[in-house]
Amino acid sequence: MASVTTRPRKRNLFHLSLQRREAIACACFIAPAVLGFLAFSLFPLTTSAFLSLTDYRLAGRPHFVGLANYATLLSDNLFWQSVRVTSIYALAVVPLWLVNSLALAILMNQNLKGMHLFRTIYYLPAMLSGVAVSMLWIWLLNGRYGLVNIALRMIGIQGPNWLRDPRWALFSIIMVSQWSVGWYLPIWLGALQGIPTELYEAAEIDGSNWWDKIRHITLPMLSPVIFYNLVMNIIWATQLFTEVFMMTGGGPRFATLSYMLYLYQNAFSYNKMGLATAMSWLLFVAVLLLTIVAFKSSPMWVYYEAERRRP
Amino acid sequence: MDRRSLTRRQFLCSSALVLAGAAVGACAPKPTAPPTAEPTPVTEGTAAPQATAPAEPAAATPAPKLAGEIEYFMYDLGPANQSREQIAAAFQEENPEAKVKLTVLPYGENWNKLSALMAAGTPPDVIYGDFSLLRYALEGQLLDLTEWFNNDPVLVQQDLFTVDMRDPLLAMFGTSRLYNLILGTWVPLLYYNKEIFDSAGEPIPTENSTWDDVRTLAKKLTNLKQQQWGIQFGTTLDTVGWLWWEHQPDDFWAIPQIFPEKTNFDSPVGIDVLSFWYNLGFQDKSAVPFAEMGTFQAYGAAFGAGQAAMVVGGDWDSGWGYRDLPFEWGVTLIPMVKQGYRPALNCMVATSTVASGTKNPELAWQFARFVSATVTGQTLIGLGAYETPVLKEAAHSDAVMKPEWAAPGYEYRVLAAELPGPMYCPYPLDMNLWEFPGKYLDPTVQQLSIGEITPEQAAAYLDKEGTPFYAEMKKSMPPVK
Repeated sequence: MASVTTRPRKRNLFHLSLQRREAIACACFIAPAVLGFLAFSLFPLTTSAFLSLTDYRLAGRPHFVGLANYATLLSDNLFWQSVRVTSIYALAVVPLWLVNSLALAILMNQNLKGMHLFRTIYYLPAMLSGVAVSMLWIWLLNGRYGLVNIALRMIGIQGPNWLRDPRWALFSIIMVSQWSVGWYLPIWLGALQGIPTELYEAAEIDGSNWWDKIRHITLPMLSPVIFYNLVMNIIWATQLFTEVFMMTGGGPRFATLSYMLYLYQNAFSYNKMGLATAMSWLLFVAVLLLTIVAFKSSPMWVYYEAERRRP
Repeated sequence: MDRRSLTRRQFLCSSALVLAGAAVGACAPKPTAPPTAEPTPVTEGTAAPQATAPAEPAAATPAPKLAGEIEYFMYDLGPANQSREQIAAAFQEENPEAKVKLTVLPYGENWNKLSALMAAGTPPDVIYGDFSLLRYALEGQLLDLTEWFNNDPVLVQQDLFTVDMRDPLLAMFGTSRLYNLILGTWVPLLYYNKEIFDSAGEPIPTENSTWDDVRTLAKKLTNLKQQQWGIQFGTTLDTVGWLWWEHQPDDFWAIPQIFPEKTNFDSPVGIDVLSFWYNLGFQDKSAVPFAEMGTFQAYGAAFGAGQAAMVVGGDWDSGWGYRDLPFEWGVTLIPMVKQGYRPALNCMVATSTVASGTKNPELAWQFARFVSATVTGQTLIGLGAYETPVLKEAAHSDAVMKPEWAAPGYEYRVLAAELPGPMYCPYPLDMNLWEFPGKYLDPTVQQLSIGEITPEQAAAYLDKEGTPFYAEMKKSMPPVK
């Protein structure tokens, strides 16, 4: 009879069950993320909530002032000017971003020779640093030597002093913001290519023209992506900073004083940390409300293929 | 081949021998540092140092043996950074066991970083800045240098400097405590484009010119069809305030006070100052419009581009941007407000400040002293051409007054710094340098210069906004300790 030899079972170090060992391993894996969140998100968030109730000027200690910072902001003309500038900017650029980038994506979705090259070219500006792009546009829009005005002069138009004229400065910033519209290209292209071609073929058989196909197939099928881009665009539009910081400094005469720039000035130019954190909380609440509105409205216009709606 | 290896016993014995040797070596006395050369005392008539080989530093007491490392915290001075590197190198050459580490940050970022470092309790040792740093003195974060200064037989000598190191403190705090050493002044002067004057046949402004003369000249030299203006306001928009100080500095504090409770723009002096922009900008159209200021590619904007006949600017203009201008230029004193009344503006000073949290106060003090009170340090400051030196011996040297590239009248920067004038601090002491100019003054001045408002309306507006602003600022000031 053959003898059966079995190797002794290797015992784990701390006599832990498999379930417990897996739990420990899981905790170890998520610990960096949790610790990172606690240290770099939750702690600053709670600290800023506290600081918004204090008079804190970096040098020295924070002094509790209750809601005084919020009251100061509500009676500050420049605060309202920054709200106005940011609102105009957001109202202008969010639709422009959506429409222009979608139109560009539809063009880039054509099955033509060399399309990959065009896609790369249109995406390239999105990879450049905002500071570098701003420096570029400062010179392009220079009232005296800028290429934009030189080109306009060639066709007999005297261009304005784009960045130094209060009537044109914000318009110029909105114009510059379209530079990076290619950023959305991969998202749109991914979504466009996910639309079943059978739908278009069926529409063609039914005699639909290109506009009908866009209206009744492309847009509904893209609506979840449109919704995503809308929410993200609203958030980004309220964060306008780099362009105005670099190109106009908020001027001329506060014509481009965005909310984030004014927040920055309060924090780092005027050393009013308490006021700046109060501004950041007001912005947080405003963006939260806008996002909630967008989500609440989404059942009316966003189509999810797998979604079952109540009758 | 048979390899011989150490036995355990042999290895332990050798290790013990090596350790014992190292211990005996460590207990031996350190070799003494080589004796330093006897420092040269400050005397009149010492030969002026050359740009490449500065003279020996001035000091009456034997230099203490200095060792360790300090951080010299400064903002970016562009080409003048090199002079700071040279100063650090010269100091290290004299003190071979000392090391000065330069931290250079872009302007603006340096103040933010400094605030954070002060708040964190990890300040740099020596800080380059101006009077605005004295807020930290009120909070006990700066080293009180009074005793160091009083015990220094060189520094207490009379007539050593072009400025009195103690005046600003007296003016601000009513105390004689010293928290900084002045290393240079920022002197505003009137720069002119000689070629524009020559082609127009107009006389070049002189040290006897008044602001009325300059206004008349500016009007004559303006040719808007050729986009040529008579005068340019400050180099950048941030410096519009400089012109204000330059115009009426003697009465400057009649407008915002040192420990301000209110502003007095709506006064004869205030209206006069505000009229300056209104008259030149709107009425005469002889000043470069603010909207045009940033459109010029050249440093110094319209003046640098040869399209403004005059500009009032500081040392940095002549030292940095104007050296290589493609036209002939010159410099003279800022005009007198009226005949026989010449205000000086030697209250704008650059300083070295020592943080109380420094781990090496002796070294930090000696470095600050080296920058301010030695011919070597001060000559290098002068050659950096960002500030005018304050040590007379260095300031009056040809190397500083008449460098090779200098335009006619460059020596006025030294002479202007020695004119009698108020030694007050024009900075609000809460480190908030920009809020009032940025929010109220600059936009108002721009409106004035295009005639959207009158000087009287501007004055009323600035007082309405300025009085509560300064009152609030005063409340935020820490009490004087």
